[in-house]
Amino acid sequence: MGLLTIIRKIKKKEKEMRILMVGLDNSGKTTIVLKINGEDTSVISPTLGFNIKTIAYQKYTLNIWDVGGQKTIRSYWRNYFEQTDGLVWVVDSSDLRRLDDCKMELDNLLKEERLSGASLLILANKQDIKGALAPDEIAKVLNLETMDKSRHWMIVGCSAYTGEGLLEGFDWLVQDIASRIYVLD
Amino acid sequence: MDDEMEKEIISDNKEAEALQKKHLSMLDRLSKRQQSRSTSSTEPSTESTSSFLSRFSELKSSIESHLSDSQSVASDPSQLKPHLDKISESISDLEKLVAQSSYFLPSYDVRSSLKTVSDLKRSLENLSSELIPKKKFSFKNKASKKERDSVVPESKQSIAPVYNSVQPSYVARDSPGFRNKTGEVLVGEFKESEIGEFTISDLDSCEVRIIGCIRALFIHRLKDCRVYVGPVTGSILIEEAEGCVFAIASHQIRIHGARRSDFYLRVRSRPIVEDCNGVRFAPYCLSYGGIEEDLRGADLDAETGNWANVDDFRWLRAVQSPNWSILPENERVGILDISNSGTERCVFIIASHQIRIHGARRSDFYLRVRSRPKVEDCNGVRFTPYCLSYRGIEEDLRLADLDAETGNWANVDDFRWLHAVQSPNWSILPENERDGSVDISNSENMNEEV
Repeated sequence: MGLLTIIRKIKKKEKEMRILMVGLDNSGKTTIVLKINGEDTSVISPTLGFNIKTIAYQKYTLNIWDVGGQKTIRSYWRNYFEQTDGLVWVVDSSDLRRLDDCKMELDNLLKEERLSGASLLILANKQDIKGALAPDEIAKVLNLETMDKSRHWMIVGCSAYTGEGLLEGFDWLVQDIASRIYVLD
Repeated sequence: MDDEMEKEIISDNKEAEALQKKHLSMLDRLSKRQQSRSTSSTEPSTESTSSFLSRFSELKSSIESHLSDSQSVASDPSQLKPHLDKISESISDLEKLVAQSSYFLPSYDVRSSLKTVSDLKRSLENLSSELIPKKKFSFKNKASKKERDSVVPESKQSIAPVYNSVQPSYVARDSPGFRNKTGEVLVGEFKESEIGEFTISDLDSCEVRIIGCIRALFIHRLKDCRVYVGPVTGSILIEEAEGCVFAIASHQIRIHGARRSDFYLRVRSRPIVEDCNGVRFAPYCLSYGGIEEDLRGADLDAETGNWANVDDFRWLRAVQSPNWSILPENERVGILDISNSGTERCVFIIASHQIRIHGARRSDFYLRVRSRPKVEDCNGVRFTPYCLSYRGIEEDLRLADLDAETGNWANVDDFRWLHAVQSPNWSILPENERDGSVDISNSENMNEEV
């Protein structure tokens, strides 16, 4: 985040934040976005490409980029990195087998320089499913403690199905971004 | 005449003489001029344009060859820096040469050589920024650039290997599932108990039946299996399946790396395939006692038609993907009934006027029947003539009007297979597998009339 960007954002009347949602396929990214926006979540096809949602959240405007997680299109994630204020990494807590894949993709993502200033919210989704790993177990598997000290991060258990935990996670994310970007406010 | 001739000759001679003189003197002058020119040019040799130009081009080509060497030197980072420094030094030497010679050079040559110098400088800059990233970004850009370069091919390569990753390094607990089985029938019934996620993995030639609702289903590495599953309220993820038949219903279905497999689907959203080949789709056709209620509870009671709206992530074009197709109607199975109340692996020896058989699987029927027997929702049932005996059976049969063999035991009507060709659900029991006469003189069992 360069100084110019900060100044531009301060001057902007509408306080916009750009949020990037990523994670493996089947983790529930689209469902989370629609749930937060209060939309119907009963018919959601796997995302081919991406969706953008603009949501008024508290006194901020969130531009949420929800990018498909299928393996074929993961290589396109990088096209969305530019100017990302907040990164949301969604984990399917019930998919134990692919936690290794999940860790590998997250590690790759965090090496990305363009995302180095972004606040990171990890949503341990599908907590409503019996057998899902708890957020602290997910944190252990993903080895979050060893993350770069400069990174602002937080892990929250949630369920896009019931909506539980979503607001807690996004509250933290928005506050954290605001404290960085709109610090002069 | 002679005189005249002589005169002429003399005059000729005179003329020739004069001419020769003239010529000689001219040659002399010429040679003198040449001499003077050459002596004048030998003296300030360093100040000649031509010698400058030859020296300049010599240095220039040496710098250029060093520049082109840099790519190969780049493999050794410790040598790269001194190498580039050396080139930079020779370029500034060249620049100095131009400056020193500029007072006698024609202005065109000065301009063109200065331009050459600046071109060389620029190509050195480009080269060093390419080989050695600029200082400004060096600590992060260097790492991330290499990382990114290596990540891209890796993620592309990893498509196949990742599916093959043997065991996750982290297994927190034994989650419910069927794993590592060959040639078995695996039945799960989750009618009362609430089940969360369920895993079906590493099966070969198995039949899986799951009755009741589950929240999430993971299917991984199946070969030649049949998987019949009640409604899944969350999503289904299938990775690696070959030669399988699936009857599944869910809100979301993702199929990765499946080959030669048929899918009978009901799905609320568009199912997707990725890295699949030879997969075919048909509507859901599962049945068991209470499935309607389960489907309704899972919001899957309505047929959305989405079983045919398959998105192939490996085929993002307007034309139909070659990787999947609609299963032709005449190749679809009828209703797949997996009710546990249904009959399975039984032997029936029965005689009656009418026989109806519903939901039987892998069972043999020894029949005598006056009318055509009927099967519905059956699978793997085989038929053969009646063979029961006990004392007085002939009389009983006669009284029941069943003493004559009608041959109807083989005239089975399958109400789930209304095609001209033989139903795949039933067959004639081969003679060498038939029991001989079964004598039950002392007890009466295995006798059932439906």
